[in-house]
Amino acid sequence: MQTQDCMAPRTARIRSVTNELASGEVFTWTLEHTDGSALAGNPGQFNMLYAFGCGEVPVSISGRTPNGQLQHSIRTVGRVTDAMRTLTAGTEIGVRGPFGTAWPLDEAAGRDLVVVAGGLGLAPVRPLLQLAAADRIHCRKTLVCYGTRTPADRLYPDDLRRCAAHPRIEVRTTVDRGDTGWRGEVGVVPRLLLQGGFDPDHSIAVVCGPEIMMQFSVDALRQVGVADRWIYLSMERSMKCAVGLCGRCQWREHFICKDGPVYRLDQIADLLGISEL
Amino acid sequence: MNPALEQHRLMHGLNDAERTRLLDCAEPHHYAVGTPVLRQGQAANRLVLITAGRVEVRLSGAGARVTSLETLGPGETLGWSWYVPPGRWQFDSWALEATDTLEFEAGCLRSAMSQEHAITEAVLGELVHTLAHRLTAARLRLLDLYANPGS
Ligand SMILES: Cc1cc2nc3c(=O)[nH]c(=O)nc-3n(C[C@H](O)[C@H](O)[C@H](O)COP(=O)(O)OP(=O)(O)OC[C@H]3O[C@@H](n4cnc5c(N)ncnc54)[C@H](O)[C@@H]3O)c2cc1C
Repeated sequence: MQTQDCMAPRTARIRSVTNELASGEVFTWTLEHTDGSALAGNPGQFNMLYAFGCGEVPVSISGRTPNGQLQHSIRTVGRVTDAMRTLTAGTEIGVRGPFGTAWPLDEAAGRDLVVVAGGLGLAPVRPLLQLAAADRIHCRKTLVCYGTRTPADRLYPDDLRRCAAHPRIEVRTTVDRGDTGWRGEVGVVPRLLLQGGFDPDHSIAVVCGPEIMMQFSVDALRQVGVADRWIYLSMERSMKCAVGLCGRCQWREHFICKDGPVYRLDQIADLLGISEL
Repeated sequence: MNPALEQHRLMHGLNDAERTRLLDCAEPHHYAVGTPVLRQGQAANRLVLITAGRVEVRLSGAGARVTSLETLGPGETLGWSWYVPPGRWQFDSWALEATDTLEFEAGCLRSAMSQEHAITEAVLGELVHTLAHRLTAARLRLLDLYANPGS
């Protein structure tokens, strides 16, 4: 994207809205340009989505429809995202982007791809699930480890089912609190990693979720022997301009909006877990 | 000996004679899916090592909702209440799948531990490992790992 026009949003249309949770707290927009063409962007990157008259927020790319339209999943947490929840199909919004670094798909070739996600952190890695299920990542196998508070908080059940049915994808899910119908694992997501099932010397791990969850997942990955060089994280910090000018997302020497959000762990290991930063 | 058992922490640092002494206390068991492995409140009389399948640890109380605390799988141990007063199971545990276990009888374990220092070390090593792991898991759940950072 050219720097001179990167601050000007382009108009896009919400093609459809899907509720991802019964609570309505998370919804997915399928977006298209006003001429019907698909928006650009790679898995791991984000767009600045602008609800006209209300405000702009960074949101990761959460997938593509079978005909290639870009999707974003949004959790309602505050002023802008609450307003976004009220927008219906056909509404026009502003979009700037795509911005930031992407998941290193090429590096997964010939390796075991370990996808670790917690809560809404499944959204930025969902494109990887879609690509893996369509045999479009040249990894040896894929292991998906996904944790949520409760079974009702699990996102994208269809994608998880599709992955679980694929011969080279294993899906492990866990919850903090089961309900009467839950027959799966109860426990925290790092524990799923300690169950093994992948070759730590020939793996690449991508981790996405709240920072605290990522920290403990990194500990588990290190414990089973995955080197920092093969662990990637998506850092989500509050941001404004998205092009490294305003400094809102500055993380010591990093501007997360342009140097991230996807980082290789060995590039940021000394910063992770420092709450003052 | 089953290679998974040979590698298990319970066997760490034990010579052949000590391993045999420890395994003399153990018997294999099988639980069909949906059957209880341990019942809260009953006398704690054994240490259970899961060798296959999956077990759910539950907390229940009169009138209280049953809460699933954790699921455990192969290589994990449960049933430490025989070592800790008052010697009654603190939790229920149920087989979520057809489950195989190796169960060490508490009296036999105690006597083996009193005679062989290496066995005490191995058993307590596994106990500390298990407690540390469960404590970390409990703390992580208190942190609410998946919460929105701002919430
Ligand atoms: C690179 C990047 C990718 C993101 N991807 C997604 C996504 O795919 N889906 C999605 O729903 N959200 C995503 N977010 C978070 C999203 O941008 C914020 O939730 C949003 O900006 C909140 O705006 P608001 O006006 O609704 O809430 P505000 O009124 O600004 O804030 C409400 C609450 O949300 C918290 N909050 C604000 N920013 C963030 C943040 N970055 N992460 C977590 N909590 C925050 C605040 O601390 C506050 O407590 C992403 C953020 C970044 C930086």
